[in-house]
This record gives sequence, C-alpha cells and structure tokens, in this order.
Amino acid sequence: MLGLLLRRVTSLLFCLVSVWGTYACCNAEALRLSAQRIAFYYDRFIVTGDGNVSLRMDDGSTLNSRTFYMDLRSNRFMLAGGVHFHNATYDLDGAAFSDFLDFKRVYFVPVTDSPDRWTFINGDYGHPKKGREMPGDTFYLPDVSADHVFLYAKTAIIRPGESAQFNPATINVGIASIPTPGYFLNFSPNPNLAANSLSGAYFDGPYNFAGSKHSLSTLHFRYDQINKAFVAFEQHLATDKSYAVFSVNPLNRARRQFNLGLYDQLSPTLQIHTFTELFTDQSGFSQPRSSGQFTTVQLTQALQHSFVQLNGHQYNTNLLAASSEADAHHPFDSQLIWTGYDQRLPKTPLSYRLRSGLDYYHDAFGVQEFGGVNYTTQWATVLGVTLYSPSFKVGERTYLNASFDKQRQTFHALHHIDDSNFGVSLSHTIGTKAAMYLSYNVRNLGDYYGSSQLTAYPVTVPVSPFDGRSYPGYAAFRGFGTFRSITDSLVLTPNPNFGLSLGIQKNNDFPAPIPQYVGRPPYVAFGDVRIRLSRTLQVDVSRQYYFNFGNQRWSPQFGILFGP
Amino acid sequence: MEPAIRHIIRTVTWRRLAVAIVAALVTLNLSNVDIGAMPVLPFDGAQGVLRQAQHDTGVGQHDTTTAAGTALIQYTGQLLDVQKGFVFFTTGDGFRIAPNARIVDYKTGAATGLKPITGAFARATFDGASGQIVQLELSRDRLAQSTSLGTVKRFAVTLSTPAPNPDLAPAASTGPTYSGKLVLVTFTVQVPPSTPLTDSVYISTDQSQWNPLAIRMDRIDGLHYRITREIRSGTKFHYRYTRGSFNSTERGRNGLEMVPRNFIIRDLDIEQRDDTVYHWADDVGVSQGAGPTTVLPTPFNPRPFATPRP
Repeated sequence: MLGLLLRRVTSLLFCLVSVWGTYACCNAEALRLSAQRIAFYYDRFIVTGDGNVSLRMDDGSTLNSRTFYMDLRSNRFMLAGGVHFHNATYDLDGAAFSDFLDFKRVYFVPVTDSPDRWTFINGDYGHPKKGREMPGDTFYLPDVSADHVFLYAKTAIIRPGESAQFNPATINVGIASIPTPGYFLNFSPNPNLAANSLSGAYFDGPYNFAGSKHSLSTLHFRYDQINKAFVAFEQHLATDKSYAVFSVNPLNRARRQFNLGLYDQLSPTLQIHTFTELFTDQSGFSQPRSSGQFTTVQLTQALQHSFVQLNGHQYNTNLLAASSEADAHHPFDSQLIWTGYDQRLPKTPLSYRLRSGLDYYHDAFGVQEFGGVNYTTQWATVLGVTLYSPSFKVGERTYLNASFDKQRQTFHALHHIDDSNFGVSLSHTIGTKAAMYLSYNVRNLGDYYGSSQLTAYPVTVPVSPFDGRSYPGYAAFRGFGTFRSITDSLVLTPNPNFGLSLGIQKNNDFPAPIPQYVGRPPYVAFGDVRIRLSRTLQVDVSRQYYFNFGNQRWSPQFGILFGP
Repeated sequence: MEPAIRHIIRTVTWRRLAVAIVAALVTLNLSNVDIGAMPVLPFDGAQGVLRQAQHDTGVGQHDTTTAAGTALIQYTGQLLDVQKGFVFFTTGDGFRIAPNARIVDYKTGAATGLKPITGAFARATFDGASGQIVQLELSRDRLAQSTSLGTVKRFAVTLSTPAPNPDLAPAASTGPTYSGKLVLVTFTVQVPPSTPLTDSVYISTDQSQWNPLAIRMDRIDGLHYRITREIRSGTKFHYRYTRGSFNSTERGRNGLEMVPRNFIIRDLDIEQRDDTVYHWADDVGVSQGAGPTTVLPTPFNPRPFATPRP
C-alpha cells in the first residue's frame, strides 16, 4: 500500500515539475487559440475571438478566420468569416468550420468555385461526406450582446471539458479592468483540483494564474482580523483518484502555515487522506522564533454494508528546544471506528445506524492528571446508535420528523462520557416559495466519575475574565450538562433570484453560558437575504442578533457571500 | 471606424455630410468585400437627406419586382460570411450575389458603413429568375423574419448533391432532445442527523470551479435543506453537497469520497432532485476525546476551570 502511494505521489510531483509554461506532461487534447481580441463570457461559458483568429489543434490542423465562438459547456466551437483550413490533406478556403467535439462531427463549408458542404466523422479528414445534410444550428452564432465580458485575452489554450488558460488576461471586475499575466479556468468534473488546504478568512479572492489537466497554481488574496490583507499561495496536483495540495498561508507574513494535504484511492474500497500543517514564526527562512506541527491521517476501508476508519492525529506543540514542559507536548491520538449502513428498524418506519470504536490517547507529558496520577496513555471504547424518522405528513403540506443519537465513550480508567441528542421538527412548505419550521433539540452530556465525581468536578464559582463577574450557579455543576434549544424559522423564496430567511432561537442551557467566554446566548435572531445581481453573480448577506447578551447585540460582522 | 461614420451620417449639415460621403468612399475602398462597383449616392439638397440611386436593376427599397418584371423574393437572416461572390447565412447556405448588387442600410435604404461580415444581420433580395442576390440590406440588430428559408432554399449553391444525414434520422434519435430553455430545478437534500442545527449546507459545482460555498441552501426542517435555481436544459450538472468547506464535503454511504453527482437537465418547466447525504467528511465516526486538559469549562473536562473555588 505504501509503495503504491509513493508511486502515485511521485507521478504527481513529476507533473508539478512541468506545470509552469510546459504542458507536455499531462496535456490532453488542446485547442490553441490566438486572436486580436479574445473574450470570455463567464455567465454563458462562451469564448469568442475576433480579428486574425488562429486555431491550432493537436492533430496538427490549423484554422484561420475572422471570428471564433466556443461554448465550453456544450463543447462545440465554430470559426466563420474567411476561414482557411490547413492540415496534411487540405489547404482550403471556406465560409465556416464547426466542430461538435462530443459527437466527433466536424462540419465545413469549403468555398472553391462554389460552396459545398462537407462532414468529417470521427476525425477522419481524408474522407469527407460531401453534401450531407447538417444540423440546423451548426453555424448559429450565440447572441452575447447583452452579456458581461469577464476577461479579455490575446491567446488561450482550451482543453475541452476541462479547462481554459487565457494569456495575458484583463479581468473585468465591474468597476475596473485588471491586467494579469494569465488566468486559468478549471471546469473539470474532477473536484480533486479544488482540494483546499487554507484556513478560513473573512475574504478570499483566488486567482488561478497557471494550470493544466492535472495541476493548478493559485494566488489567494485574503483578509482576516489578525493578518489584515495578505496573500497566500496554493499548488494543486490531481488525478482522477488522487490529489496533493500544498499551500503557504500567509505568504507575506512572518507567522505562517505550510500545509500539505494528500489523498489517494488505493483501491475501489480503500482510501487514505493525510493533512500536515507546519506553523512557524520566522522571517524568510531564518531560524524560526516558534514552530509547531500537526498531522492527521485517515484510512477508510469500505466493507459490506459498513465501513471501518482508522484516524491518527499527531501534535507537536513545539519543534524547537522547549523552554518548559508545557511547551514540549506532543500528544497523539488514534481512533478505530466501525460505522454501519443505515438500516430500517423492522416493522417501523424508523431507520437506525450503529457505530463502535476504539480510541487511544498518548502524551509522554500526560493526557490527564487525576487523583495524583498522571496518565500518559488512555484507552476508550465507543458505542453509538442513531435513530431517525422519515418526514411524516401530519397535515396539508405539514411534516414532522425526529432524530435521536446516543453514544457512550468508556475510558479504561476513571470515567465514561454519555452523550445523547434528541431533535424534533415540524415544518410547513408552500411549494418552493416558502417554508417554515419549528424545531426542538436537547442534548445531554455527562462525564461520569462515579464516586470520584466531586473530585473531578468540585464546587466551582467561575469568574469571567472579560467583565470580572462571578457565576455562583456553576456551583451546581457536577459534569452533567443539558443544552436545549427551540428554533423557529421562515424561508421565503418567491423566485430563484431572491431569498429571505428569518429565524429566532431560544437556548436554555446548563451550565449557563458566560458571555463572551463559553456557552450559547439565550436568544439569537438570525436573518439571511439572497439577491441575484446578474446571471452569474448573487450575494448572500447574513447576520445574527444576540439581544444584548454580555453587551453583545449584533454579530461583529455581516456574513457576505458572493456566488454563482 | 464604423461607429464614427454612423454618428456622422445621422447629423445633417453640409460640412458633416461632405465628410460622411468622403469617409464612406474611403471605407468602401478599404473593404475586402468583392461585390463590384458601389452606386454613387445623389444628394437631395432640398430635402437635406440622402436618396438611394435608381440602379440598373431598378431595385428600390420597396420594389417587389425588377425592372424586367421578375419577382423579387426577400429573406432575412444573420450573415456567416461573404466571399468569392457568395453570401452565406448562418443556416450554412451560400447564395450567389449579383456583381452589381446593392449594399445598403436596412433602416434607411441608403449607403451604409456597415460591412457584410460575420454576425451582421441582413435582408437579402433575390431575383426570382436568376436566384442571385441583387440587394443586401444590413443591420446590426436582429431583423424580423420576412420569409422562411424554404422559399429561397432552391437558390442555395452547393457543389455536391445533397445527401441525407443518418445522424438526423428520427430512428437515430433515441434519446431526449434539449431546447436550452431555462428550467426551474429544485434541489432538496436530506442530511445526517449529526449536522449541527446552525450549519449551512451548500452545493458545489464544476461550473463554479468546485467552490464549496457556491450555492447556499435554505434549511426547511430538522433534516432537509432546499434551493431552487434556473438552469438551462441540456446542461450537464456535476455537483456535490458541502457544509461550507472542502473538509466538510459529503461522503458516500461507505464513508469513501464520492464521484460528484451528475445529471442532465431535462426539457421541462420544473425539475426536482432529491438527494441524501449519509456522512460529512469531518464527522465520520466522531467521538468525544479525553484530549489535553483545557481551561474551557466544557462538561466533559475534569477541573474545567484553571482556579477552582469552593
């Protein structure tokens, strides 16, 4: 298994070597286009070319014309206006040339003394079917006059069904046109090139500046509260069954993360994921001032009607010489989990799912200290069940559903943790234009130490570090918590271009929340508005209100999401 | 050049008109359209407007017959190309153009700065006897259809004898057809009960470069989310569900990464997609951990506070 993984990673790394400027390694069929002006309409996924159009295909054929159109979704292109077709067999003038790539049909109108109609089938240019009737829309020109141009370029390399590279690219962002060396558009049905290794940010603007069938290089222009505006870099390598993604985030700050994510489908029933993050505080590549690392590995094996997963997590809080014991922790934990398929509970409409597992925790400096004993290793067994119902119709367009989950994690020493979740919701829909629901959820979480319960959870009155208030109610807390919430929500979607969602949630928790420290606000109101700005762009704005819980009214920021 | 000429022609003053005539002649000389000599355009000083010349063919803007009495037939369409004495429309048909054919503006009937190039719209007037185009009226705007292609199809010139296309035979068409019309597609997904109540669910698609936040869905009850989008029929839609990040993408029933879901939008008014997410990538087999002791007062951590007080 390890050898197979290494071979696949090696092949992906080989692609990385040739990713910039050369596409020979992993390049499939490609159309190389140049024109005085190439335009890409993102909402229509149409590429146009005007003026001195030149198209070169992988089979050596070249086409010149005045105009070019390609529909990237329909996977067909056309050249028209003074077409000249040249390959090993022909050197012909024509009025138009149309290629239906998915159907392997080329339609050509040659013009010698008189026009003619030729059809080439399956790329056989040597034997045209002359005079054959053509589909009615073979040479139709798409009307893009009302559409927004996303970018202009001079050259493009289009890999049908996968990607398009535009060089150089002037990107039209509405209020300005930004010249860039190039732009890479990936629309492959393979999602592995989109594997992400970056942590969250308030804003992320990716710029794909290079790529090929198996690789993608991206600069991310990001903003968050700590780093403010910064740049991150991400390199993707992918095949149909594997990917590797590497990133540096931020690229232009001393405190940065180096991330590496790997995935491989070792067999139809076996997959492996790994993720490693190296955090450093260093100037350039000088000696770091601090450095930490963690790695996760996940191996999933599908079985008949179930699957087994092995997870491992390794943390190194300090890769440098530790100045204190707390600084030198390198805990490791691992879980072996079996999860069954959803099954119908006999003679009921309910479904259930079982799970069980074995957990392992180790830290040379101690996983848990209790009763004067420092436990460096702990084991635990896990048993869990999920039970849920379908949506029962209880009235006109009114439905009821419920779910229940119960899990016990038993440690080999000291304690066990019981966690149960129950939820029920009543919903009413008005076609696709509106929906409302009322839901109730309760979670009971208990940490059982038996006769040592008071030792584990002594009487405590915490003090908030933010406002200095004390919370005497915590004196009743013995390691058993209950978290209840009632949520009422209304969603209005009168048409696909507008959506409004409003809701309110009441939380009743024990232990009670401490503002800005721990726990949920007792009352939360939330709202979300979605508006389509154009055919390709919609904006989603959301925010929450906390009813002055710990002087918190509105959530600190609006949530703004732009999408297609 | 063309927009400048059009602007000049609209304004009727002596000076601007003179400039317009000179500019038009210069433009036509630079044109690569080989259609023979262009008519000289007389100017009606009294009217202050351009009048189209009476040509040898005797064809005026509203004539229905030639001077010789031959019927004229008109056809409107979009131009594909004009070369070597032929005009091609986007139907793929090529028609011979008379050597002395007129190229005029569709709206005014006067000489035009528009070029008969790919993408321009034109009304072609055919001489019923010769089958040649004797007049071509150009426009940038789409024109109303004056007659069906079938009326002028017999004038189309093609070297080879037309032959049927087996690809287009009714028997060959065994699958559905797609008109490209907008279809209301509603996606409803059932999520696993472990999905946090406050989490959002999104649809990630190939067309959005697999952005995990591409299409946000609305929660409609404890286990279901829904969204309706307008998508053109015939679109091959590849998608999968996420909770907002690549690490929280859906997993298959067997816990493995899934091949993205896909389907082709059918030629309907509305379409419904009902899906089930069995697992999320970040919650498969989740269990509570002993973990390192923290100062957060979570119920399952012993000594939840750094400084316990009696």
